[in-house]
Parts: sequence; C-alpha cells; structure tokens
Amino acid sequence: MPDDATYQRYIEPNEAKLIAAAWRVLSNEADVNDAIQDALTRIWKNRQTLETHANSTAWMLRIVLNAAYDQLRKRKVQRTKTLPEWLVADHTSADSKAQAEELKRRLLEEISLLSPKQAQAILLRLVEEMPYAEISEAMGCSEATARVHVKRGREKLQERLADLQPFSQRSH
Amino acid sequence: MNDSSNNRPTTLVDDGMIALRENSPSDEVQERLRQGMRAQWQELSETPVPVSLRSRWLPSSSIRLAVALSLCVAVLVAGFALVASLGNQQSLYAQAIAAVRKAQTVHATASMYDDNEVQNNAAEVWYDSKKGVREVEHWNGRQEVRLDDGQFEWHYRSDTNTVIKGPSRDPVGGIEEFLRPLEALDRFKAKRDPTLDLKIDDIKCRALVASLESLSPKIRYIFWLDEQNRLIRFDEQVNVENTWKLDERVDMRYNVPIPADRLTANFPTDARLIDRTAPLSAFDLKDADVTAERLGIILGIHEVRRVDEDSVFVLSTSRASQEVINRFGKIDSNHLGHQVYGSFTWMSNGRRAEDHSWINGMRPLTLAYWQRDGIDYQWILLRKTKAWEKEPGKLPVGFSIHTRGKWAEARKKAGEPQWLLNQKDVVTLDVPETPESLDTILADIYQQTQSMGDATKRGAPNLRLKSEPYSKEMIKKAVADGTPLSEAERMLVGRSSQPEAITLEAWSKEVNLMLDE
Repeated sequence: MPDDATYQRYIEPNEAKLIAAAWRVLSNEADVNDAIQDALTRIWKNRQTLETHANSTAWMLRIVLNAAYDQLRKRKVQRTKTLPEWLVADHTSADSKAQAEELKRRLLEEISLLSPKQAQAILLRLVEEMPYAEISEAMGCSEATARVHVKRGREKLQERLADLQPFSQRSH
Repeated sequence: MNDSSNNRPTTLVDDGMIALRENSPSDEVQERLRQGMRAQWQELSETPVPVSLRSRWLPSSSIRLAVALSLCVAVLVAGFALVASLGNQQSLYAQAIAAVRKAQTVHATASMYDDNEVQNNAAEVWYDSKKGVREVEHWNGRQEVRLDDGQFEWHYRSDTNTVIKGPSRDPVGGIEEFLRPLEALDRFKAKRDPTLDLKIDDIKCRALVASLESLSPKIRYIFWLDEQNRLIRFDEQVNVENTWKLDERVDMRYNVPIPADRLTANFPTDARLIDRTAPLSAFDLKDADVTAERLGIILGIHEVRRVDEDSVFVLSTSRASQEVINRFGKIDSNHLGHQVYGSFTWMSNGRRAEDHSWINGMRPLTLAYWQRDGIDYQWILLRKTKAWEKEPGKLPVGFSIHTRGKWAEARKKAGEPQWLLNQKDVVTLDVPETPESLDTILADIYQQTQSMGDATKRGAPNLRLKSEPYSKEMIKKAVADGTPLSEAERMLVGRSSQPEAITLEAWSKEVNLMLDE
C-alpha cells in the first residue's frame, strides 16, 4: 500500500484523537510535539500493522500514550526546563483550582513511576475511557490481564496519593 | 474478572483522571501539531502526505478551488511524467513541472461521480502558457473561479459573491504544490493493459493501469495516452462487488484554441471586490515598536492600543533571524509542512504578588492569526492588564518560544533547547494613555486582515470565532470511530473565518461571545 494512502486512511481521521490523548498527559505543545513525533516514527516503522491490526486506532493510541509516558518520565529529569505553565504556577493557594492542578501534577508524576504496562493500561482505561476489549487489542493481551494492570496501577496510585487526601478520609 | 472500578466511591485517582480528561489544546496549537504530523510523515515516506485524488474532491474535505482544479493539470502532467518515467530517472514531480511549463495550451475537464456513477461535481481548466490560467469548479451548487494572468490573481466565489484580487502566484508555478502528490505515482507501478485501449474523440489511446489492490475497496487508476504519450484521459475506478465503477474522470486536450474571454477578469458586476495587492511592508522589523530575539526567532511588536477599561490590543509578528534563514532557506508558504521556523506565543505573564499569593496574569485572547512566508502574525487582546503596568503605560509581557521544522531539528541534534517556556517580561509595551473602544479595534483588524495576503482561499489571515460543541452528527461519527460518548459530547470544534466570508458585525458578535466565556 502506498504510504500516503496509509496516512490518509489510518492516521488523518485520528489526528485529533492522537493529539488530544498526548495533550491530556503532557499539556504543553513542545512535549506533545516530541511525543507525537516519537509515536509517528514507531507507527511508520510498523505501518503494516495498521492494515492487519484488529483495532488500528487503539493500537496507535497505545503508541502515542506510550510515547507520552516516556516523555513524562523524561520530564522528571528535565523538570526545570520542560514544565508546562500550570505546573510551574504557584500551588500554595488553597483554592480548588490550585488543588486540582496539584492533583494532576502529582497524578502524572506517579503514573510516570508505574511500570510501562500499568501506565499504558491506566491511561487507556481511565484517561481515554477505552473499553477493556479494546485495551486488550491495543496492548496485545487478554482482557483479564488488562484489568489486572488497571487494578494494580490504580491501587498503587491511590496509595501514593494518600498524602493529598484530607486526614478524615485517610485509612489508618 | 469484575472491574472493581465500577462500584466504588469516587477516589482521588478518579478526580485526577477527570481533571486530565479536561485538558485540551487550543485550536491553533492543535493545528500546528497536525501540520507537524503531516510534515513528519512526509519526511518519513519521502512522498507527500495524504492527498488522494478522491479526497480532494469530497465536499466535506477542506479543498480549495485551486487544489481541485489544478488537479486536472496535475493529472495531465502525470500522464507525461508517467510515460517519461519509464525511460529515465528524473522524478515524476520534476517532469510534471517541466511538462506543464512546456505546454502551449491545455483544456481540461474533471468530474466526480457518486455511487451510481452520476456526475456530482465538475471542474474545468483553461491554460495558455502566454496568457495564464482560468479554473472553474462547481460543487454543492456553488461555483468558484480562479484566474491568474501572470500579474494578478482573482478568486471568485458565488456563495459569498466576492472577488478577491491579489498578486499573481505564477500561473504555472502555483500548481507545484498540487503536483507533489504525483510523486506517489512512482510507487503505483502502472502497467500496460492493451485490453483497455480506447479511441477517445478519434484519438487512438493506449491504456496503462495502476492498481491499489491492498485498499478496501480496491482502486485502480487508468491512464490513456495518445501516440505522443500525452495523457488524454484519466479514470479513478472503485471496485464494488467485483465491478469497476467510475469515481473520477479527467479529460485533457492540447493545443486547442482558448476563447479570449476565458482568460480575462470578467466576474459578476455586483460582486464585492476585495483588493489584496497592498504590500506587507508595514510589518518590517525596522518599523516595529519593539523587538526581541530568543532561540533565533525574532519578535516584533507592531501595534499597541489601550482598549476600554482594562485591556490592551497588540499586533505581533514572529520570524526567523537572518542567520537561520541563511542556513535553512526562506520558507515558501506553498510548502506543505512547517510554515515558520518558530514563534513567540503570548503567555499570561502571571506572577506572585507581594503577599506571596499567586495572581493570574493577563489573559491573552487571539483575535486573528496568520502564517505567511515564514512570518507568524498574531492579533491579540490582553485582558486584565492594569494590575501589571509597572508604571502607567509600561506593560511587561511574557511568551513561550518554540522553534519549528528544520531549525528545531538542528537544535535537537545539537543538544540545544528547542523551546523556552513561560518567559516573563520579554519586552515592555508602551501603552497609550487614551483608551479606544473594542469596536474600533475590531473594525480596524477586520479592514487590515482583509487587505492582507493573496487571492487564494487560505491566503488571508484567519479571524477567530467562538468554538462550538460537536453537532449530533459529529458526535455520532466520533463515537463510531471509538471516542467515548462522554468525551465526544465535550469536544469543541475550533472555528475561524477569512474576512471576506463574514461581516464585521457577525465577527464582533463572535468576539464578544468569546470574551463572555
């Protein structure tokens, strides 16, 4: 298949979705651009999969989220130069917006510490709201395995975010 | 195994995920990212990205008249190129350009057909190497005409009854952008098929067929060439239940007389004429109020006006430094891919107050935007500015700076930063004391943007409009494509308009709606 037709057939209809997925994780243009570039290169190298995969959209989404996850991990190292505006903003304010921003920041930080598979499953399920059947197709595993990844990932996140929980809601 | 996430109280993780799902890029950012994706794929595949012959004609796609009509000539040239390519190594694209420049006159007609092979869209091109080109397209009951006589270009649209006049883009050279997809034909490996030979208008033609078997449905392109190896007819056919159905047809005739009225500017007398032949010298950096340079990209502030009680209007440009241009070349706006080497994006310039609390900064609202010949233009309204004036009339402003394209790549390879985020106080604006009304500002922007650019549809700045939620049809389609319903219902469609397609009153209303958000 000619590669221009490949782009038109598989990627162009999903451009907005792929960009949106990366943006939810990274929230700044430069990082999203880098993640999308990495992902596109991976898709290009495996482009024959687009034709054979049972759910090519889910497959591409996984690659994009994986690239975003990689970018997120890099951000930990390069934080001073890659933080998006909402991350560098002051979060000492007690208003709810600042709390939500702090929660997002911490959540992303903790996701970057999960194993790649748990992070992929969590992002596909909880951020992209993808059905487990599709997650299993995207990740090349059984639905049961996908559920396990999500469950364990969620438990870890819940545990690690406990310090953000008001005292009355913490489990002792 | 049950999904334990379904039956439990909301947790911090859920709240965080909901917050993440609400993150979305602005329309402009999204468009830049899309362009980047296409440019990258183009580089990866070493062929132009996606512009299938079919999609150019679909009314739902954002085709331009020039795109669709020039395709006729493009396909004509493909015929030359296809044959010529059999005998030498020159690229189809290069041969296509050479062949167009060699032709004396060309008359081309093109038609699209629906599923029942009934013609539903049509286009016609008259080309004279000495006089110019006229392209006419009819689709969805609307007519568009593009005429280029080598000095000026006119673009007429029946739905808005406007004629936009701009400088000529070179009647031949302007189609080069549209010829690029022909490079893909190299890969189709067209083969001779004598069973499809035809006599068309008494011209004996040989058939060459290129099949795209792996597509579903299958598609084939048939080229009929005359004895001089010129393309006489091109068909795109789709295989439906083992029968080839005509999808698109282009007919070409050469060195035929072109009626004089075809190549003169004769448009309806009651059409509104928009003149875009004024030069863009007003945006020279030497005339800018203030400039700043970061990462090899230069910011120019060209206009600063106080608006009403607590806002400031600014017109800014970003462009590559001469050093960057010398290194990578000037960007031609007809190029598919990055349109600039980088840009300054307006930031809120927020900061900590004396009591250590965080105070949001100014809220930049893009009123209009444009990228042309390597320059990024932004018409911005900064809101809530008064608190940030260091002294009356002195307003420090902040930006993020991103490099793009070859310049960004070179910086990446060299291990240099490709962007600088949230740079505060990059320049200080001198804000006049006397405020003007927003209506006055909008009227000036409307007039200014109307006079900029050229006659092509995307040749003028974009006036930003309020984003709209997805329509029911769009939600349905998004869900069918796998987007969760809850997400599809939240999605917004970014909107903008060229000045000729909207009245000042309607645009002002849109701006006020954005300000109310």
